[in-house]
Amino acid sequence: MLKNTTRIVLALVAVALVLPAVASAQIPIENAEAGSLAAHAAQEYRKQARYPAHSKVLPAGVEDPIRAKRTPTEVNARVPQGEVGELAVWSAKISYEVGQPIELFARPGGSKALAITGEVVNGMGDQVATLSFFDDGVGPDKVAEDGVFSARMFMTKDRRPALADEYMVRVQASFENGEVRHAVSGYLYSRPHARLTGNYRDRVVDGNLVIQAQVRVLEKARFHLAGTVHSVDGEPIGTSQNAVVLDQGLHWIDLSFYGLMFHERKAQGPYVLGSLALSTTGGMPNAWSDLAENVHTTRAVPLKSMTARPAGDADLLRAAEVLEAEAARSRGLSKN
Amino acid sequence: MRRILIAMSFMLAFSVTAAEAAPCFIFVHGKQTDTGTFTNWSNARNYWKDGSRDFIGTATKGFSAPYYVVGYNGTRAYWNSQAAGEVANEIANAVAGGADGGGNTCAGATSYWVVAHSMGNTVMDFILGNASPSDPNYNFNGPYNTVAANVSLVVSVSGAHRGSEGADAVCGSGFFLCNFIAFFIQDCDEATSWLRSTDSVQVRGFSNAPARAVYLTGGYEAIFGASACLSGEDDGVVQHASQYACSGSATASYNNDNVCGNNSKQEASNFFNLDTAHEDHDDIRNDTDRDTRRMVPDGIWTCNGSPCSPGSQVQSSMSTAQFVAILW
Repeated sequence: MLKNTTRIVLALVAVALVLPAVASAQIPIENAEAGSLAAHAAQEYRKQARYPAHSKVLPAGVEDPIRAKRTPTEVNARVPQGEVGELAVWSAKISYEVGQPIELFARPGGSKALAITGEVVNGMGDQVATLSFFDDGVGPDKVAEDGVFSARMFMTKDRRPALADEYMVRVQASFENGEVRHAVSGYLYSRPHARLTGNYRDRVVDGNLVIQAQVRVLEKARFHLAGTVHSVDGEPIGTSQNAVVLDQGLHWIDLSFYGLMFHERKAQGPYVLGSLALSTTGGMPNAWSDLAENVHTTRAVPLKSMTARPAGDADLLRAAEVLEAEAARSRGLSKN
Repeated sequence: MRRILIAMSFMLAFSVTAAEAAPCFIFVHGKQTDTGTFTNWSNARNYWKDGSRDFIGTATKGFSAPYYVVGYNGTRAYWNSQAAGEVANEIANAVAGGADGGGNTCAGATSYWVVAHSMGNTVMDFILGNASPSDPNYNFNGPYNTVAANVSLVVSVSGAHRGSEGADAVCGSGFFLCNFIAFFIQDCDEATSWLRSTDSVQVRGFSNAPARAVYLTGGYEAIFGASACLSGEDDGVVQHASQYACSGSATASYNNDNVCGNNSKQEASNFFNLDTAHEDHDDIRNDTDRDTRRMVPDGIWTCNGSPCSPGSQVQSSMSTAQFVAILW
């Protein structure tokens, strides 16, 4: 019995000793070493901790992230062995407010389409409308015979959403040779519970730039406001967001841009509120108001009035500490 | 007897040290065609296995790290209470030391890594992008703030961050060959519809940047038929533009050497490239294909002290599960 136990224990020891050696022999890594991910994340969190959760600096040269999220993009549907963009479809806007016309586009690649049609389907899979696309230069179709087909429709009044609904658009293009191509797009149909009035004001509070946007609340809800501040020549500097529950009536919503961003980007005022996105939340999908762009220019705020002190986000610093300890342990272990 | 005691002491010391160094791994599966992983934990566990191969066993170096397996309703939209809500509640349970359906716990761990596959990443984007009171959908249907406060990082495996052109094909009644994709996606249910490429369903439209770092790896092995319907490189179900959380069109065509870098992501921060593997959407999550790995722009590998050139081969026989195992 003792001999068997000895054999088992020795075998286990041998396995424990040999396995790591085998693994490292099979995995000749150069940089992806144990602890590298933890160390990288820790470094990132320390960098990000200079800013509070609601306001972040943007690296130079990046696009305005709020504008990017509200800018529609094409969906390019491929067919096997086909060329890129065999049927591209898109919507003029990602979200339409109640009553606005829905404008949709399709561009077949290669040969000329005989006809392009579509159907609009709700979240239950029910067809709510059919569409015909035209390339005739009329209405939303800006240029006749340019290969871009357009369709416009209005949602019926019975489709007025409680907050917002998502609609899928199935598009079908038919060709002379009998080929049929399919693509799928979509849009949000939103009923925002508040509107931006167009009134803005700004001030410096505790070294941070606070831009206030006035809203007229039509119905009590939770509202999310996000904005990007730009330099006067249009370079995005940083973002801020805020979420508040508001009752019906006129209110101001603050966007506080953390002062350090202006030092780090060496950006002197005045500044421009380059993009502003208001959403009514509390349910999914959220109801989006139309994106407001370049709606306010601040007074000439001196840079010295802005804080240069890091925010020291405690949550991120704690996460960094945990990861640094983990990275050190992993690296110590891998050296052994 | 003395030798036995010495040997046992050594083993004990080794295992304690390894466990101390280890994060607890929390696994979040992808899109499902039924509710099995939500109602039966074994289904969620088996998602990561194929025969004797087991992603979880390999990534945890033979279970030397603690782990917890999440199961949620993968037929519902990523933001649904049975998807994001369930995942958030399960992760909160994990960090509190609770057990998963198989009795596995993270008890004693100080660091938690989420490893998510496919739609599991869309779910995580929604949770981590709505974990702060100023976020658009803060704590929408679960303790998202608890998740963010405890999770150290996410390893995204073939993430459907920007949806899937496979979902477009299934929902749009596409060319019949594209319906090879239906093997994985099956039909245009609620989850599939919310994984389309169109902007109106994108998780980035309803979230802020994730509160924790998301590290991106994915696959570039084609699946016959299906891949012909996807843009650029893909794993047969999800195209690179989505696996690497790129900004711009979700259907943009990218290869291994030009996929978006860390400054061109769907959010302004916290998405980072790792690499790409010659694995398809199925075998990347069950450790069945130990194949080549290639560098992507801003990826993790270095060659002779400098970042390897994008597209270059960095490993000849390593699965993604093995790759995760060398990172901790």
